[in-house]
Amino acid sequence: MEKAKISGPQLFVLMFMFNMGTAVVVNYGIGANKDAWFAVLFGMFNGIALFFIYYRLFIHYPKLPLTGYSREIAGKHLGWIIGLLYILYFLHITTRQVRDFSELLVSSTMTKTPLLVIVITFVFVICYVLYLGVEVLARTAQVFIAILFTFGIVANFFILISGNLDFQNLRPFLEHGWKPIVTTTFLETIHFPFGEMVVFTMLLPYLKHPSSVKKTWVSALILSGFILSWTVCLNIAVLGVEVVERSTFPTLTTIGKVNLLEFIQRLDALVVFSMMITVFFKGAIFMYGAVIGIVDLFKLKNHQQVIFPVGGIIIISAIIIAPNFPAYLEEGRDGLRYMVYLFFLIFPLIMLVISAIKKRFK
Amino acid sequence: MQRLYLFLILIFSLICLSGCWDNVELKELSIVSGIGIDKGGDSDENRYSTTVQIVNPSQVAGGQQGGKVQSAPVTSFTATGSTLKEALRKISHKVSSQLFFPHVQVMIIGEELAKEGILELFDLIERDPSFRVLFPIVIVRGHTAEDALKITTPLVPIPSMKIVDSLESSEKIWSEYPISRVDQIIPRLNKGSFSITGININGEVAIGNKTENTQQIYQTANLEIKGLALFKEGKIETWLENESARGVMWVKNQMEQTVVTLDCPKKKDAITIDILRAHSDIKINIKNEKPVINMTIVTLGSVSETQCNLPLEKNKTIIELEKQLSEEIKEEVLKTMKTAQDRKIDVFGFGNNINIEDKKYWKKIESTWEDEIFPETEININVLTTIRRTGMRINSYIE
Repeated sequence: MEKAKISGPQLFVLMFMFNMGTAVVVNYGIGANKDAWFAVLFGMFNGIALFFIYYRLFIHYPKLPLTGYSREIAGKHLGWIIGLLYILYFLHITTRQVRDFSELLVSSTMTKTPLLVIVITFVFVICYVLYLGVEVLARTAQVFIAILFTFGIVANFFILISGNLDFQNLRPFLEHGWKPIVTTTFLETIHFPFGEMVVFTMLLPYLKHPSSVKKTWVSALILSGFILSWTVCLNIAVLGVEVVERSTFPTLTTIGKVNLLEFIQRLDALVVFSMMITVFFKGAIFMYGAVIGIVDLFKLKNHQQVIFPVGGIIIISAIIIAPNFPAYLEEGRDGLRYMVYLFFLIFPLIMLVISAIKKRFK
Repeated sequence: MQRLYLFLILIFSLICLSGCWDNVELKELSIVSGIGIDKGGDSDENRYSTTVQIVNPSQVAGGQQGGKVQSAPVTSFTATGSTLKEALRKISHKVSSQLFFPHVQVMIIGEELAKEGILELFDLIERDPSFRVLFPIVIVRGHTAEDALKITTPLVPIPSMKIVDSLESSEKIWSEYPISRVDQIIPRLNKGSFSITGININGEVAIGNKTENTQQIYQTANLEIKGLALFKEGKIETWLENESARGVMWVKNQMEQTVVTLDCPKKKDAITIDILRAHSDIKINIKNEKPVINMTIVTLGSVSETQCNLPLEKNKTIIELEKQLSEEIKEEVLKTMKTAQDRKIDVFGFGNNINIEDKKYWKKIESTWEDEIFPETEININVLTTIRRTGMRINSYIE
């Protein structure tokens, strides 16, 4: 464990950018058709409920990361195995982030560049920041949030005045009833990105003022939830729901339609940069969660020893997890969405229950 | 040790700075300003014939070079293929450099191909990131797209840009034919009914092909925006012109500015009213399981020219003109409606309005809407006009 400390605002910034992640550009929540924005908000509320599970666990074990208190609660061996599973989960999601971003860059702007080049560069930078420590990561996040907000506001402003918006595209509300919304929420938006915040349980021990957890987490959750919902709403309003369903990167298409005064056009770069920033932090946090877990489980001296080997694992995994983009999407859709319940809901819930029972019997 | 790391980083960044895989030199690019798609042959291998209009930068940029032989500002090349991308690739045999598509200004589709169906033509545009979906489409009547891309144009050297400029000014000033952008057409393709503006070639193509065409005061060959093609199931059903086409603009709230002529007591079509603003509201009521379309059109105009001696100083005259104008507009819209209903083409997108109004009802009638229910639908049109001013004079000098 490092001796570093991160402050409340820094954690907020990290959580916010983490939540924006890939969701802000990728096809998100569209299973609910025109009500996707509502599915996102619903997922956000469920995320708040999930938070309270993690919060309780944090209160009981304020100095231990998830892999630490899993061993306290479930016993040394079972807890160790649970910790290992979490490390694998974090590594896998890191890989998916890296792959997602590289695919975006290659398919939209640099079509002939090999995937490996972008993956290596990206992972290398993540490794370097993490090598320097979590405090550096947090401070970098503080710098980039300013840039992200600027891009976000500028992009939103241009989209709003571009005249392409037609909020009638969102009507009728509940066109296909509640079922698509419920299905989409519990299969997609609850986990991505709100359930994924479980990785922050690995980072909470680093907080300078542990009492600010609740405020920070919930406010980051709500702000990111609203912004994601608004982004989905914008995409449908500008493009129409059929096009959003079929697009790989709807936000990119939306910003591509901005053409003001024949002068302000081709603003794709804004969206690509935003995604670069958000995915960088999401990937870095997941990787850091995995690294802390490894340091914890294998009782290593410091995290710097394992950063670059883990980076190597991520690079190779990013290439081999899927042979092509549709396969990658399919794996995310069909494979992951049930399994992740284990990590963000079932394990923490069981651990909370066992921990509560143990405390009762003390 | 620090120095060694610094050195290594510098070397590494040199590798990154040498240029990436995707760079292309500007000299190696042929900037495509317009694309034309025609019917190719009958076999699968030459299904489409594509034409690209490439900008000739030396003739377009910079100052005039007097005394030199002026070559055309654009060049065009044609090739056939089984898909659009293949046909476009085959053009590279004839062109000296790589085709560069992000600046495509317009896409022209030949009428013959449009009669057979255009539903498949847009996948390439959507999928390929180098195409911007904001450019307009036009259908060329009576000629091939290849011919349309050969006509030189005055005032704007690149013909594709001239077409776009004509479309824009036509939409703004005459508001008879809308600009149909690719991204507006694509969502409607599946429903099959939509409208695309047409373009005509006046004069001989062979003359239009020469730069002498634009060196004269009057171009014997020119391109004209004319006609609105109505599509059903992706194929052309019919063409609307003049007032019938304008009716579509009134209904779809695309009317910007136009001119309507009214009658004098002794002379027909003798008063011109400038329409300055127009707005249409559509409300759908479901009565007895049938939809009723209630349309309100609000418009503002001013008297722009009279050929007779109307007493314009009296308010009574203005009110009569307003009544006449409302009737004119109502008739135009009704005429368009009737054509659309007869042809069973819901080009206005009323289906979507019904969906917004009552989604359960729409789910029931969606499959039969266009062919059975739309032709029988009752339409109520209410036009509210205001004529505010008569220009710099009140009464005319005409006795």
